[in-house]
Amino acid sequence: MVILNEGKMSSLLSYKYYIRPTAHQLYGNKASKSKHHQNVHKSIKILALEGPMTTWEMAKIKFPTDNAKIRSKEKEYRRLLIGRIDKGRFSDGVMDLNLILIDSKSTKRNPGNRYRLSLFGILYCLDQMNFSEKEIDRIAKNYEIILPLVFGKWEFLKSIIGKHVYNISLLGKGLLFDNLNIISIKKDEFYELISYFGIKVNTLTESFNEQKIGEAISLWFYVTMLYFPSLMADRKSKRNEKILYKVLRKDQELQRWFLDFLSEAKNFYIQRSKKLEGISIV
Amino acid sequence: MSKKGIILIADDDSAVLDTTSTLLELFGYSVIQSRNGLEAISKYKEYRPGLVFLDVKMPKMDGYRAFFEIKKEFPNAKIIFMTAHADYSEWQKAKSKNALELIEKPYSAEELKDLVERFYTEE
Repeated sequence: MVILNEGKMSSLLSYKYYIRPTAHQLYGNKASKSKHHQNVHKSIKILALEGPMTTWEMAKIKFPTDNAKIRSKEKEYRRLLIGRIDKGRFSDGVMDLNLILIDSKSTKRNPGNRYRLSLFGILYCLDQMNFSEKEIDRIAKNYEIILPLVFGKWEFLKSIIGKHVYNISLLGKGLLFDNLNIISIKKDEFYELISYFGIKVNTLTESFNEQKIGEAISLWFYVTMLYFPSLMADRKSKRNEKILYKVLRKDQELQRWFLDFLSEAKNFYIQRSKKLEGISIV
Repeated sequence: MSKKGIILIADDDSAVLDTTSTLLELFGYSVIQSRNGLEAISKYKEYRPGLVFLDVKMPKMDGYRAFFEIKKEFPNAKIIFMTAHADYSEWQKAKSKNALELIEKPYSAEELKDLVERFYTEE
């Protein structure tokens, strides 16, 4: 399990309020004309579409056979990813913002680090790169191990909810549903679920591993993408079955995981209500 | 994923912008955000959204002024006002120029969905 830089990548809230705005400031947006911005976007795009690889392998995509050109391109990618401190120059690399991580050591002839996108790197590129649906499918395949409950179930989810799976890119925009007081959606249990999700996500500031962040992304996906739209649709169409239930009924692993979340949320509210019942003023 | 169309939302409160944008995106629309009336006018010209939500009180230019500016150039623009402090005299003037609705914050997800379904049209 990859341990992340403390303080920089602790929860989805830090993605929304720190990583995403800082990445926009440092690397521009998709329309940016700066050469540096374009090179950073290019390296992120390669890791998204090709999966984990060394900088040598990244360079070989553009120059498959010319070793001199590969060497110079490889150096360029390495500087982009890890930054530079040589010859009195100093610049941060993309890894400093935790968008890219070291995945493993390459065991090929020339050993080197193999790099991959972090979960926040994936969210950032879904927001920035204008990927087609086919390309998002490739990203899901490349990164199914680090987001097993969503990317690991991608084709299954597509077979039930179709193109709505691609709405995961909303999370890349930082649209977390973390300001619920603005909208009154309190009559449904969605309010309790998404509020508890917010509380759970906030408590992640004490832990720094991708597994927990992956779980937070998965919870957001299933609660916001599958549960909420179903509630909205039911009123109009009078259909009784929520899309989420269809998904959970067909996948035991997802069902167990979501029921655990439900019972965790129920326990939380029971405990909180006991606290309130304990208040005695007179 | 192909979207049903573009909706512009202008509000200086980022909590309102975020939550309303999340809902509209979940309803299947692509959302353009702006934080004041001036920015709303320029984004309207750039994107020609099928529906606009304007906050009444905003810095630089308020929602009503932005409404009249947009309507001058685009008489068919579909615009809904959002407010926490209704000013009915200005609202009456805007209504006479075909402003669609004035909704009070906080509004419900159902109300928002209903408005979009009733009024969204391609510009």
